[in-house]
Amino acid sequence: MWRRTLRDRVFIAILVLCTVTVLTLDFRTGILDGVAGTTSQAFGVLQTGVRSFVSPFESVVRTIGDLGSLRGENRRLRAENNRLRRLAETYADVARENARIQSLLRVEGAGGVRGVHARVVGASLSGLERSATINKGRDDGVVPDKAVLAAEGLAGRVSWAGTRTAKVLLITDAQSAVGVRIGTSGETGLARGTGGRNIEIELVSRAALDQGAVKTGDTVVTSGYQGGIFPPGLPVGRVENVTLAPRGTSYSISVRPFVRLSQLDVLAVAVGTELVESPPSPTPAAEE
Amino acid sequence: MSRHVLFAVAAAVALLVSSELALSLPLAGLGPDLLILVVVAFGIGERPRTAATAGFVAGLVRDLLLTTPTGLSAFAYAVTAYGATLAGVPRGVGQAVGLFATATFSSQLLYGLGAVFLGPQVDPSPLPRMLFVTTAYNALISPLLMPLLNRVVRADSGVQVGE
Repeated sequence: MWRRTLRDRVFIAILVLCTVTVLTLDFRTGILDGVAGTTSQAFGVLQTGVRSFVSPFESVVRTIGDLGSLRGENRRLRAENNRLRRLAETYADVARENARIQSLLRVEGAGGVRGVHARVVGASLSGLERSATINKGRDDGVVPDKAVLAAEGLAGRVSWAGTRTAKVLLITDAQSAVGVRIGTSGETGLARGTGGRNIEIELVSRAALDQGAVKTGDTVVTSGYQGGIFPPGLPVGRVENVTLAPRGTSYSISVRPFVRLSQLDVLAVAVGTELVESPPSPTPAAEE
Repeated sequence: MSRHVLFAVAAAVALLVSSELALSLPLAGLGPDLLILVVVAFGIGERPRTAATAGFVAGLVRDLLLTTPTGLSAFAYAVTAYGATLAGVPRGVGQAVGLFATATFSSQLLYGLGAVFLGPQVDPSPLPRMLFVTTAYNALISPLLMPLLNRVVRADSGVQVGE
């Protein structure tokens, strides 16, 4: 056991001073932005390498997980030898990814979006932050404040872009805010992340809510105000519940995102728009 | 290779694996915090000041990869490493797991409270879940990592964790 000496106390004071200095530099200046960018860039490259190493193993594990539901089909394939079975597993994984990319292309097409496709290579190191790292960056045309789509709809926006990797702030993060339109009533509001599984919609007309304009099960899509980050009509989620606060002062609208944010793999960053004649209708893959 | 270089390599691997596990494990966005395990293991048997310095540097690197204010993880890891070192060398796996779990909880609590009070728009509601899940993951993982931590981080000091 170490005895606490005067030097230890001085050290603790220095430690606190260092922390306050770093926090002040972070809040008041942009000095640390460059260092953070370089660190994220280097870490992103390493994450890409690790992901490419881990992916094949993960695919095998997922395929094993799927075997339960494929039991009937497996009975027919029992006669197949081990080599063919391994080939079938590989094919199933490729087919699953292909289906997701097809869905992603449909969402892109419906939203009139031209996308850069990227693979998720890492998640946030903190449970207080909902973000993902992708393996495309400024070299591929990915810049901050671009919408990011998954096969089922909107996943988030680019919050930082390095040359070869970028960070995506997911729609469930507490710092995320998306302008949305709700259901057939067309009421607009602001969908904010909660840091949890769902997102909450704010700034919806109180009069419209009193008249029942928003109901459980309503589809929520991006409203796409002019000059905004998110193109209009991208599927966001479905209203899970609408509750009046105990004193009747305000409503709480909780929305379950279409995108399964715990299972992100291939994403599309909306780097441009394509001309569409009419706004798309949401047909999220998650509803299947 | 000096222990400091080994510590740097172990810390970098811990960050990478933590990020990968947060992506792969079933609880969305939540995974173990392997970095604090490496920091605490490095600090055991060291002088508290050395352990705290190692914790501060490792935490600072973690901060640079997050959007929460820079310096929070650095402070949390430094204080935790300092405290863990004062607790002495754990005897037996149970004590070691207890030390790692307590250190994880403390560091996450300090970091989380700092982020909630100082961070822009940080929602406090996921904090209890983050504390519980990360501590549970680390408590489960630490016995498995102990031989590795002993081998990599404690290479030439002669001190063994949990024995």
